[in-house]
Amino acid sequence: MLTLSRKSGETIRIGEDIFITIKRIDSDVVKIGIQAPAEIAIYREEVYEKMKSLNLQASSHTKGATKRRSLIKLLGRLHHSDNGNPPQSSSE
Amino acid sequence: MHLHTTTKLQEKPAAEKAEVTLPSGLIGLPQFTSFQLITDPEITPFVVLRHLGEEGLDFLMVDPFKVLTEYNLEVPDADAEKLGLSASGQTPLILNVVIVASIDPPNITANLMAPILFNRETGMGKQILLENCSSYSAEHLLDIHSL
Repeated sequence: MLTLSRKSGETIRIGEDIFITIKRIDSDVVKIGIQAPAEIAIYREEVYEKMKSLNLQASSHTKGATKRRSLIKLLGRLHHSDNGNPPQSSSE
Repeated sequence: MHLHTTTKLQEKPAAEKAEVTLPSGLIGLPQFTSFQLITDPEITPFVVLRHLGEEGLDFLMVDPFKVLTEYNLEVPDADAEKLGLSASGQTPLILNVVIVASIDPPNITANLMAPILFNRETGMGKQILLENCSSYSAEHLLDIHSL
């Protein structure tokens, strides 16, 4: 990894159109300004990793039918309890 | 032969399917760009985002306003512009859903930090990390009874 020293107010350029500016340094917190083309998504790393892991978890490589069935079952149970009626026996 | 009279043809309302595109994929999964959005009355208020790929992955999603009525989306201007969503954010154009990470009761959670917004007219969508994402949980516990 390339490591550079920068003072407050100084900037780093990455390629032609990405600029990273050190805005302020407060003990253990650094404020960073980033200027980049709109198509470049910028995330805090831990947030990105969290979103990614949740997306992976959501897909969870289940076949749709299984998921759909368990959902219908779940929603069915709810609707019955909403009505105050016992769940209908089914021939399933 | 006796046919049970309660055996009836169930007139199931048909599920609606629409092709949608997420040019940047999902966050962390940039290769997932082509999907089918399935609106199935049987699983309302959930909808399914089915990846059009070999694996046939399904992402279960829910309308965030059903989860949290005071849900407020602050969308970065660049994202709104890219999706062709007007600044006034007129809702008829926008479908917005959040991914449900788990459907195992009682731990059904939805990611309210990064909803997926669709432009209904173009079928273009994007998962957007909200500017006010710190106000919400990425693992918001769903109160399934209130859906």
